Amino acid sequence: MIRDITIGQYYPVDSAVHRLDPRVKLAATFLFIIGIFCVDNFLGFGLAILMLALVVKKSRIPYSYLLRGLKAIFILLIFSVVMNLLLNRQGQPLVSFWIITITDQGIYTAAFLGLRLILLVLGSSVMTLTTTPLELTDGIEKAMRPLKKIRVPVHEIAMMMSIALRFIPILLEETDKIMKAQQARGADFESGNLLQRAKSMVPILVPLFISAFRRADDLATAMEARCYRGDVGRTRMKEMIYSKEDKIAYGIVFLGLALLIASRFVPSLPEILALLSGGAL
Amino acid sequence: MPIEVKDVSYLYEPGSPFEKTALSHVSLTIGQGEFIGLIGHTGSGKSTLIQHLNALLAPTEGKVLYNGQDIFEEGAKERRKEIRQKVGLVFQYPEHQLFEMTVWKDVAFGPTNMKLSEEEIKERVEWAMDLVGLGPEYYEKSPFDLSGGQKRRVAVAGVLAMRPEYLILDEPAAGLDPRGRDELFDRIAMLRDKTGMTVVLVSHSMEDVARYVDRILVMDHGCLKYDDTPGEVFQHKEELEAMGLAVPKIAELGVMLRRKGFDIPKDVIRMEEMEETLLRLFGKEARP
Amino acid sequence: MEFMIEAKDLTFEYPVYDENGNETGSVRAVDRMDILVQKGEFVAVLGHNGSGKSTFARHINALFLPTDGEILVDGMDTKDDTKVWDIRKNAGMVFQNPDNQIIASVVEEDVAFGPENLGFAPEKIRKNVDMGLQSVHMEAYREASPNKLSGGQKQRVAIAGILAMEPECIILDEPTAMLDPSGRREVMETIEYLNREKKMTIIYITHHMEEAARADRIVVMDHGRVVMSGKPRQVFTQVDRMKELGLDVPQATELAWRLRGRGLAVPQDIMTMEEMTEALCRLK
Repeated sequence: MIRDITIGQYYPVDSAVHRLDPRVKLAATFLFIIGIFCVDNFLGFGLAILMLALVVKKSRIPYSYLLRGLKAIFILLIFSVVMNLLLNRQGQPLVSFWIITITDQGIYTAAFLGLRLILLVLGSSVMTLTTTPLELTDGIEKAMRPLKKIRVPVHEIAMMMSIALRFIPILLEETDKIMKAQQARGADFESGNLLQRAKSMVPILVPLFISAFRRADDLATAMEARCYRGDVGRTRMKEMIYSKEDKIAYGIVFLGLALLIASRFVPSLPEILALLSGGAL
Repeated sequence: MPIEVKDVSYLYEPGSPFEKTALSHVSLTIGQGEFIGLIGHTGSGKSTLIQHLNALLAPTEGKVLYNGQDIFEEGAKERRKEIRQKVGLVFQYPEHQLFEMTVWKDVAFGPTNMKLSEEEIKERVEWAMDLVGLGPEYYEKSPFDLSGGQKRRVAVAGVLAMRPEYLILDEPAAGLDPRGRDELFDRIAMLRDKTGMTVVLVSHSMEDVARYVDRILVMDHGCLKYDDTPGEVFQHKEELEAMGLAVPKIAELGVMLRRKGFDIPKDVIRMEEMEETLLRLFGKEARP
Repeated sequence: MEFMIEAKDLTFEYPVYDENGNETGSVRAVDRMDILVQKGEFVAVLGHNGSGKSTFARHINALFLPTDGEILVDGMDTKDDTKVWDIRKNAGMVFQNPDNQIIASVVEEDVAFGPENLGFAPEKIRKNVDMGLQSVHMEAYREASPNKLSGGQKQRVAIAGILAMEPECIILDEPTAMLDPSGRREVMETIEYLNREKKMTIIYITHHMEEAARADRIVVMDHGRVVMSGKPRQVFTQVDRMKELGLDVPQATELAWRLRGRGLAVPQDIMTMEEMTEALCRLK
């Protein structure tokens, strides 16, 4: 289960998407998210899915691998879709029994919400899968540089993020190991009521925290030993300069956003039919 | 009651691009009272194998039988729970799983999970602590105030307190200094003599394994390559080295001396045995 | 300058607190230690856990500062604030746990971390990273994620990260403790190559006597002091003393010692099984 989380894991192949400047990918992800919140009909979502599919194809990440990342948010997804389905009372009621009413509007909002969530997760996964965490944080650092003037610790934030990303897989593996070790001592994480289950997490969480602190301590020492002193006098091996590809990519991204926004104004099929029949009259 | 591993294969992340064969058609039987060494380089499948022995991992293919019964049968959840008590598994760096406020409570975690009576728990904790050589003065201490070697012994006691019939130790001496390592191994050998427990020692140190065990299993790329007495296994010096393993220095000496015409039996692989054998050889020749 | 490391009366104490946070005393981890290490020397440091080896090692990198006495690294006093970064650049450190010292998620970016901190120019960093990875034979893994590497490979990446800073001395604190035999072999071969071909000074802390036997000199520590120092052969022949200190000797040396103790006249300074075979053949 723990191994299924793909968010924050780099997928090491060489592709045009991998080679893009992280700032381009950050901007693209950000604009894509704006885009999917702008669209409000199936045409728009179809467009968004198509765009994402093309980018994924170009990035050489297997679709199945990307989709596995959705397992991590599966419960959240079902929960929010069902809540929307049940709580939305606008529009035509389709089914109605006891206190439950499902309306056509409800189905639309639930479906759109589900699609948005899925696209959101997949879109950001594409970014993290094609960008090494270090590139990503470099990108963020560089993009946020202006904020330094107002004393935002940009470098520190970026460093914290990159270390967090590096240690996520390690800590997940460790959690797995501690769970097994406690299971070998008869611990049961699956049965009992909510309170008992919460209590059964203590034998996992205490060792996990201790280990995280020990690692943090080791890592801090190792960084200091390698002359780390914040960004004082620090240079980078890979300097970030926009290439021609990056500029073209920006163009494509903005075009994509424009298309997504434009999809709002394309009338739906019933509307077209209504318009046509109205015209005929 | 023996544990039988029958044609077991295990795949990590089957069906994904990261699919990896961790075990491939492994068959073996572990009888009661044996002292077994399991060796193999990192990633050879030895950790995966031992997790099958106490029902933490279910085989992708094949069966694991305990006392003739399939432990991964549908609806055998209770049987799996029982297995985890009968087969005590001490993970690598076991001190990293300590979590209680006192040593006593931590060692009592296993027996408490077994829902035993207060007296039974008390008796078992005392018994386990005694076996690892930690007296009552340690009962109320915080495990986090102990030295590295002591922490490890507390963790081993935590598994022993479940009174397992089988004890599997994964790299029990990792990170200890020579004295700590000797003390730990001597203690394991002693508690085996006292309790008649079956012990499986997982290690990549040939010296440690050679000193104690009667039978060696060698894993390589998920396959069981050798299952034999130490004397026989260590004849395969080149093969073992190709697997990233090494032969104990004493066994190496045995091979070299045999080539020079010395009469050293193959099963001489321990320091003391080599000492006696050489003295006997030279003692005879020294006499007129 | 001839000496890489000169420690005189080096002492390090740290306070001990009781449960309420009151200071109840202090522990001397390093106690008036004297040691000289020549440039280009390969020194193995032995001692049981808690003998002060690691504390000493961290002084060479100015991670710890002496509470008394002094330690000069390449002639620079670690207490001199202005020299800290030069000292750390000159004396790189590799630690026990390979996972907890790799900062980046891609091998080459981790190797670049040190030189980036030192403010080298991008082209120079690139060059040093390539050179570092080549020296440890890891150039094929430059784009790999450290999580996918074996323990021995991770330690080699850590060594490459130090090499990229162009140090003169590398301190390794039990780098093989968590590795399997092939990982240990890889690290040991790398270290010997750096010492022999690149003339680097090596301070190597270990519990493996067969590894220590390959050094130019062995220093044994106990209670924060140097209690033995000499060529491996000289140190290991004192089997009783080593056992007293909670340490081992190579198996061949131990066997020689046992045989001699029972009246078989093999030489005591045997260190390998080849030498033992020869000695026994001569006796035959």
